[in-house]
This record gives sequence, C-alpha cells and structure tokens, in this order.
Amino acid sequence: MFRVALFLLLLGQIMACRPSLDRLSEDRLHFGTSGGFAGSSRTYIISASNGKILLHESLTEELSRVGRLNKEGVAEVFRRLESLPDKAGAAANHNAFFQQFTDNQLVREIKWAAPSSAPNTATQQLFEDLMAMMRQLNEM
Amino acid sequence: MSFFVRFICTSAGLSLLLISSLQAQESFKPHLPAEVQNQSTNPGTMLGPINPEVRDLLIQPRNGRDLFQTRTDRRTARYQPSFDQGTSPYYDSDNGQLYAIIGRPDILGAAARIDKLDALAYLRALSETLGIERVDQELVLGAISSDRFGGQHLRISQQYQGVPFWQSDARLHAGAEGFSSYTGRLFPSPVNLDIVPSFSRSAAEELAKRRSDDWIDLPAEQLAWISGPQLEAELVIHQDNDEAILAWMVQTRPNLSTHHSFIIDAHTGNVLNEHGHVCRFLPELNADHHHEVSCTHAPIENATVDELGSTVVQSLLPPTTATVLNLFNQFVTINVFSDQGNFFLADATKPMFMDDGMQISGLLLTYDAAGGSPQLENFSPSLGSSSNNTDWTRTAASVHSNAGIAFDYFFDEHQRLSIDGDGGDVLSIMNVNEPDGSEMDNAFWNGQALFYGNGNQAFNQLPRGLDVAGHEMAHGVIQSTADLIYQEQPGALNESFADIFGYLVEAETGDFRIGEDAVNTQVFTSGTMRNMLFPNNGAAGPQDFRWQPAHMDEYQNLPVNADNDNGGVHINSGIPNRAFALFATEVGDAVAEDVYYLALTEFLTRSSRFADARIGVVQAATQIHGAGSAVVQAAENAFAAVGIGGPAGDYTVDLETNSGERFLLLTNVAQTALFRAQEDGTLLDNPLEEVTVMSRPSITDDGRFAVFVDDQGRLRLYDLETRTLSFIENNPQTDFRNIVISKDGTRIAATKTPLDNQILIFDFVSSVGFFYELFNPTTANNGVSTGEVSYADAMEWEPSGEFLMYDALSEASTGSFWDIGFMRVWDNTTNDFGDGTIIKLFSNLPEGISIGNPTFARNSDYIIAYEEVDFDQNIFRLITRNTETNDFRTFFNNGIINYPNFGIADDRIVFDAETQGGDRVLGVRSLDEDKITPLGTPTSLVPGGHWGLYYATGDRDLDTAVPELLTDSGLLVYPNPVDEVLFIQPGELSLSGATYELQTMAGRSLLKGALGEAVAFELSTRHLLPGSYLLRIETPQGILVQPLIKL
Repeated sequence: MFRVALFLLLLGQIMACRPSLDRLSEDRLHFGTSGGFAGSSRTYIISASNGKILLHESLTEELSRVGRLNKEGVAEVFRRLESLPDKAGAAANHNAFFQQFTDNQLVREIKWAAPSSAPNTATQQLFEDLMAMMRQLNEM
Repeated sequence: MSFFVRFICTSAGLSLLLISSLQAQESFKPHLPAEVQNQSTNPGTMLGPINPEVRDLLIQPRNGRDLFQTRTDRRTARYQPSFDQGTSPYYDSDNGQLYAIIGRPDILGAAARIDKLDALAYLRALSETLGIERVDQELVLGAISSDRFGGQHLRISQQYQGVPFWQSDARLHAGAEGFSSYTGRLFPSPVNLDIVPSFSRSAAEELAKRRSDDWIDLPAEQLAWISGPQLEAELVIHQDNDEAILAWMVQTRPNLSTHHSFIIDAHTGNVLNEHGHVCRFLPELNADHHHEVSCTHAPIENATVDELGSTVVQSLLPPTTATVLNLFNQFVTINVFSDQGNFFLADATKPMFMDDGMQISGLLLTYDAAGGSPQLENFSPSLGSSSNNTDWTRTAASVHSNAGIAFDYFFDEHQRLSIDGDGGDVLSIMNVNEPDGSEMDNAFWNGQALFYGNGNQAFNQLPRGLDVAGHEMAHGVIQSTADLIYQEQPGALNESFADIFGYLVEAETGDFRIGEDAVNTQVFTSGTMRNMLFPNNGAAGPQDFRWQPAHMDEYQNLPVNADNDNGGVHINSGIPNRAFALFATEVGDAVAEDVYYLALTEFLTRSSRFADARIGVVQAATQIHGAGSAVVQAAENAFAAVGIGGPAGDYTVDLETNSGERFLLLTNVAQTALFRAQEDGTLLDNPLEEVTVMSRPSITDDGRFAVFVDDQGRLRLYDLETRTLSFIENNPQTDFRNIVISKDGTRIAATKTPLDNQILIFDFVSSVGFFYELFNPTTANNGVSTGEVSYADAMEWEPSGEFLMYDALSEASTGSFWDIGFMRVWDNTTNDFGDGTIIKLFSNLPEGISIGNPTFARNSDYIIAYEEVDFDQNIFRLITRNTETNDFRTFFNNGIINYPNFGIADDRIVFDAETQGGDRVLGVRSLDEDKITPLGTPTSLVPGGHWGLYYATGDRDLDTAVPELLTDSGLLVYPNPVDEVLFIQPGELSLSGATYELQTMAGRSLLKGALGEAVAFELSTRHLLPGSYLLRIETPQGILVQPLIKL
C-alpha cells in the first residue's frame, strides 16, 4: 500500500519561483481528469527529478505548486508506472489519465472513463493512491 | 544540358542559338493503333452531324485490383469506372477515404422494390468505386429500417473471407427509385492478407487474460451475471491506416465489475489496442437505495419483485410529485415516488416505464454522489431522497427536472424512447467532485449516466443550465446512434451534436450560447462558455481556451491526447456548430432539428468527419424536403459558409478567360502541314506552314509560339505572329519524340528516343535543364509493386507551370497499361526546379484499362479531359472529370483516339473523330457550365482535321506572387519523415503572427492555422495518408516551404 504520509514534504507557501509550463522537468508524470462539458483538464504534474507537484487547471490557465514528494516517493511512483501499459484506453467524454514524459517525449499514455474501464487494477490503484495524496495536500 | 545553349523567352521575344544532329523518330504510343491516313491536305469547313461509332458502355469489373495508392491530392482519386455513371463519389480531402456516394448508377434503372436485392445490385455496381472486390461475399447487409419521414436505410458491415472488419460501418439510403446513396466508411478489400492466424486463439486468450491482472475465475452462478463469456476471442480484421491486419479481438470480463477488449495481431501476437468498457449501474434498489457498479448483463432483468421488495414496486404507482425551487429560484414540479414514508428521485411517468410484476424499467433516476468521484472505486451514489418531499435541494430539483425535460424533448420531437431508444433508464448523478476532492468545474457523460459537478472557479452551478443536461443526454443519444469516435473530427462532431441538441432542448430560439446559465462571467468574460453562431466567442485566438474556430481556415490540428482535448474535440466543434447555427437561423429550429436528428441517426457513422456531416445533413434535408428545396440549399450554404466540403470544393480557383482573338491550330491527318482556323472551324490559312508534324503541337497561353517535333526528330518552334518556323536548338538533335511548352513560354518538357522513362525539363530563363525519371509511387500500398514505367508520351503543363501532366506506359506483371500522372518539375515558391514528386490521377486503375492523352481545361486546372481506352474492345472513351469533386462524364464514345482539347472559354472540346462513313474529322461538342457535362450533339468542325488546339492571342496573369523565402532561419521542422506528430521549433525566429499551412504537393491546402508564441508547436499528422506534402510557414520575416514525407 502506498504510504502517502511518508512521501510528503510540504512546502507550504514557500515558492522559489513561479512555475511555468515552459519549464517543466523533462522527466515527469501527468495525471488527472479531462474532457466533459467544458472540455477542460485538471492535471497534476510530478517531476521525476525533484518530486515537485504542480497542478494545472486549463479553465483558468493556472499552474500552481501544491507540494513535493520525497525521493522514495518519486521512486515508488515511477516504479509502479513501469508496470503499467505504455498505451491503453480510448478517448471518452471524460477520462482519467496518466501521461509519462521522458526527455520531454510522451512515453506512456493511459486513459480510461471509470474504474471499471481502467486497463488493470494496478492502473486504477496508482491513480487512487495519487489522488488520495492530492486530497491530503489540498486539505492542508 | 549543353545542347540548350540559350533560349530566353521574354515579353520582347525569343532569341535562339541552334545546335546538333539527326536521328529517326519512333512512332509513339505503340499500343494505340496507328491511324495515319493519307486524307485530304486541304481541309475545309463543313459543319454537320457526325455519327461516330458508339461502343457498348459496359466494361466488366476486373479482379486483381491495383492498390496503387498515392497521397491525398485533388488530382488523386480512386478510379471510377464508367458504369458508375449517374453517381458522385465523395472523398475525404484529409485522407483520401471514400465517405459518400450520391446517386444511383444509370445502369440500374429504377428498382422494382426496395429490398436487399436492390441493395446488393447497387453495391455491385459501385464495387470498383468502393474498392470491394466481391460484394456478395465481403459485404453483409443488415435489416432495412424506416425513419419517420418515410426514408429507408440499411446498415452494411464488412468482412473478408468471412473475417469481419471490426471498425467498418456504412449505410445505404433509399429514394423513390431504389437505393440511391451510400454514406460511411468501408475499407478496400485486402490484398494477399493471410487469414490463417499464426498466433493461436489460445495464445491470444492467454495473453489477454495475463494482462487482465484482476482476474477471478467466476463461479458458475456469477457467469450468468456478466454480459458475455468471461474470456472469448474472435478473429477480426483491424485496419491501421491503409494496412489490413488479421487480429484477435479478445474480450475479458475478469470479474463482475470490469470488461476489457484487446486487439492482438494474429500473426505477431503484438497488442495493437486495448481499452476498457464502462460498466452499468446496477439498478437494484437495495435497502439503502444504492446502485452498484457492475458489468452484469442487462441488470434490470435481474431485478425481480423479490429482490426489490413488493412494497417498493407497489409504491411506484401512482407516482408522486413535488413542487420545489430549482437553481433559477423557479418552482418546478418533479416526479418522485415514496416508500415507507421517504421520497425518492425516481420518475416513473415516462411512456417507457414498464412494470410487469417481475421487472421494472424505464425510470428517470437522480442520484446524489455527495462529493464522491466516479473515477474512484469507492464511488457509491445514493438515490436522491427526502423524508418530507419538500426539502429537495435546488440542485436536485434542477437535475431531476432537466432530465425529464431533455427526455421529453427527444420523445416529443423525435419519437425517441429514452437515450438508448429502447426505453432504458436515464441516470443522473449530482454533487460530483473531482477525484482529488475538489469541487468539479464540469459535467459529463461517462457512457452510462449524466454527471454534474457544482462548479468551482469557472462555473457556478452546472445543473442550472438546461443546455448542460441536453448536451450530456445528447452524448448518450449519439453513443446509441452514430457512435462518433471521440477524437479529432469525429469527436468534434460528437461535441457539436451534443451542443446542437443542448441548444434545442433549451428551446431558446436564436440564443446560440452554450453554458451561459452556468458560467462564472469573471472567467468566461463573453458571458458564455461557447457561442455556436460566433465561435470565436470574443476571444483573441487559439491560445485562449474560450476561443473556437468559426471556419475551416481556423481549424486547429492537435495531437490526440488529454492535453490537447483528444485532437481538439471541444475546439473544432465550433466549425460545425456555426454551420448549424447558420442553418437553423435560415430554416428555423423545427426544421433544423428534424434534419439534424435524421442525419445523426441514419446518415452518420462512427468515423464520420466534417465532410460526412455536410453530406449527411444535406441528404437528410433532401429526404425530408426534396432535392433542390430551400432547406437543402440552406444546408449547403451553411456548410459552405464555414468551409466544410461540398461539390464546389474550396480550391476551384479559375483563371480569367484569355480575352484575345480566338483561333484553332490543327494538322491534317497525314500530319504534313499546320493549318489555322477560326474558332468555328472556318479555315484561315491553307496551309499555315508545310512541315511534317510528328508530335502534337503545344502552344503558349498568349498564342504566340507553337512547338512540336518534326519528322527528323528535331525540336521546332513556330511563331504564330510572324509565321516563322525555326529550330529550338542551335544545332538540332534528331532524337526527340515529343515536346510541350509551359503556358508562359519559359520552360519546355521533352522526351527522346530511344524510349526511356525520362522527361527533360529545360528552363529557358536559367538555360538549365534536368532529366526527371518517371516512377510509380508506392508510398501507400505497403510495397505492392505497381510496375516499372517504360516511357511517357502525351504531356501538358499545368497553367501555373509547376506541374507537368503526362501519360506513361507501365509494365506490370499482369501486363502493360497507360495511366496519367502529375510531376512537380518546378517550384514557383523557390523559382527553381521541382522535387520530381509524382502524383497519379487514379489510385486503383483496373487491369485492362488504360487512360491517356490528358488535357487541362483552359481556365480551371481542376477540370481535365482524357481518354479511357479498352484495347481489348477497341474503345476510346473521352472522359471529362472534375478532380476536386471526382465527378465525371463520358463526353464521347469514339472508335479512334480522341486527342481532346478545351475551347478558350471551356465551353467546348475539340477532338479527333470519324464519320459513320469512316471519314476522319475534327469533331466538336459543347460543354455545360460545370465544364464536364456534354451539351448537344457532336458535330464535325473540320473534315480531315487532326490534333485540334484552340488558342487565343491575349495576355493574362498565370502567375502567383513569389514570396520572399526564408533561408538559414534556424526554424526546425522534425521529424521528417514524420509519423504521427510533427514538431516546429522557431529557432531564432519569432513565431508571433506566424501561420502554418500543410499542403498537397499540388498546393492544395489541407490544414492551416496560427503558430503563436510557443517553444515548440505540435502538429498532428496521424490522419494523413502516407506520401509527400509541403509545410508552408509564413512569418513576418518571410516564408519557409518544407517538403514532408508522411510515413
């Protein structure tokens, strides 16, 4: 089981610099939801190099820093990603998704409409664990 | 090219220095019968009817279809045999796919009755156009259905040697005379596809089972609860671009709550595709009135009286109502039911409601997610409830009420019984949050139910909008009908139809705003999320999420991923949205909704794109209101106004007609002299010049110079103004076989003897020439050989001087054939020699058919004439064709070679012919305004005449401005060759204000848009057929034109 509390290093309001989509880590994971009536996306971005977690909301075009994963946490996330399919799922009106980038190249993309249509349990479980972590961050 | 020392063509005239020696001229087109006859060298004018031998129109379809595909281009089309006459095929300009055939082949006549036999006859007649070799074996006909307007439709599925294509979907539509149109997307019959799998069924099943890591061997009693076997594999054909792949489609239902599909290559074992299915909400009303997610089969059937409890069932009838405030603070009456003192959001008043004592169905049910997320496993919404039937939240009132209004819309206006059309429950889920716990700024359809968030930053209260409910319910209707794939253009159509029905459900005529009742106007400053009539929505451009394109000129070509809206489905929907808004404004909502619903439910299919939508809407309008009706015209106008498809195309730019004096240049049949006549055939010079003419003369557009090869193989130039005959070379060589001059007189193309596959292009301005080698492009046929090119014969320059149109003899294993190609020998942008790219007129010329002697219309380079030759039957059929629309006519059936040539105003064609008595004449026949349809009877123009060429002595602009070219810009375009995504990086350039345009090699625009200030711009190329293209990037600093190869 993913031990959320262990991996969190909360940065609070400390912001070294304003995050920018143009300066994302080359190795990173995007996950979140997209589509729907608004055709919007709500995307969390975890940097593989430093564990920083950003949130991008397409409707407001805001990119904000929400927290940070420690090294062990980053390693576990990306280790679990490796067990997932490189490409799976079909676009639907509303999707959950994973997108993994290595050297700024999209190397893994999984999308699914509901837990029942996730490609496998591991995919859904990683999504649930990460979202549980995001909930904790958002509640702080 | 040392033999061409100088040949400068200027407005002032030509200066020539001549060279070289002599060789014998070989006869050309050896496969065509030699027709050199010693007839009169003194032709006179004798207008009168001629009765050429008319041959049987029928040509038998051939087996062994040539899969010769080229890239998408206005001049590349599938070969359409003459027995399809009476029909117009429509090809997708983006990928070359056939998507519609309108009309009934003349050969069929009227059907005795509309039945499957007529459908089969229709499909057989169209088999070549469809690319289906054995219609009877490869197409499976569904049942004939009728719509409420009296139209009849039939669904077609496709198979190959008994193996189904899982992605194909098409329909036939009947008119008064029988089946008369086709819409959808079928795939050409595979060639040499091995349908014996080398990767076994059990191996595929094992692979899929292994990848379904949540597998549980279900006990026997639970197997009955899932929607099919726990593991099953079916052999299918999977189409990947142009490649047909034998595959296993494996369905796994590893447990009660999941269902996956896998497409596995049946030869390699590679997984080509895998995706999950959203499972149903089980409508078992348990003690807590919770529905649980499950992949059970037809779950309502499992809900027996015993399971539900008789009190629940009894309490459903009669329904109870409540009058409560909604999110507009308006009182609405909602239908609920009571159970043991509690009240629930279940509407049992709709005509679909059924209670047979054992099963209940046909309910509108509204659930409360209470902040849960359907993306999480623990999602467990409860049926909305109240203990007093008065404290319903305003959100509950809006969601439940709006579901009823949307249901009523589809039932009342379209007689549609619920979302699935079969009386299935309508499920709405309110108070949905994001999986991270935040308030959801969205609403959606997940394949089973409508979900509503309560808004966060961009929206206030999404359930407030009736158009939101209409939009989401429409997604369900779309899923149950056309089932438009949710990406790129089909996905944008999916979104567009959802907006359209959202607007119609809201029933506020003329208010084409979508989401206006739910948005936060601090975010959506225009006051609405989308505006169907004005899709730009007051925003500056594509970089603004509030903006949508209003016209195909603004189309956004985006990669298919979550970051890019699955290829811009919510972005490009602005274009068809505006088409609808224009149409509805013109004809009214009541007419528009009937037309669009019929188009959606009967004419569109999963892969339909924007062009299909135009055809579908126009056909639906035609069925309801009649061909040529004001409604049909309004539909055509609406789509034309946004740049979507249509017979006229968007690329049919005509040149101004040459205003000079008109003449006809010709030879006698023996080719021993040149003659000049008036346009009506009255001879002026008899002869103009006594010279043996061994190649058909070619004339500059201003009528000043004619070039040809003489009987000693020398290149000759005749000045029609000064009546001077000269040599083109200083020291004439004698090994030339043919020569044509560009319209502006600056370049020639020539072929030589002995016969080979080269064409010499010589530029008089630079005094440089190159030999271009002819080949048959194989970019899209997976390496299937299309034979070697032996030599070219007839040639003609395109008006702009970039392309050379030619016919060439190719040798294939199945025999030799002539066909027509276009070679890019000059680049007007760089003002230099072209890259030699070759485009073929047809992608699938059948065996035994040859085409040749092509000629352009004078003022419309998308109109050509050529001859179609069946050597076995000695038929020389003169065909006129609009290469934009692929519409064509048999202009004349000839017993001899036609050598067609258009009149100066494209109002006639002159051609070689024979009278019934066997006398050779130059014949002429008038053309209709469409420049392809013959008018009136062919008549003799000049007895004894041969190789007629109209010309006029005026000057006109044939050129386009040559922009400044960017060099050393540092702008990067990669990868090249490209597969799915092309990247554009600006280097040192500023891309502010820069635009891109992806063109065919002939310059036809496929995509264009703004680049903007981006670090790297991504351009999706996945929908393009393999082949060569041009990417034109226009920046304030200049223009870059980059050739691209699509893999």
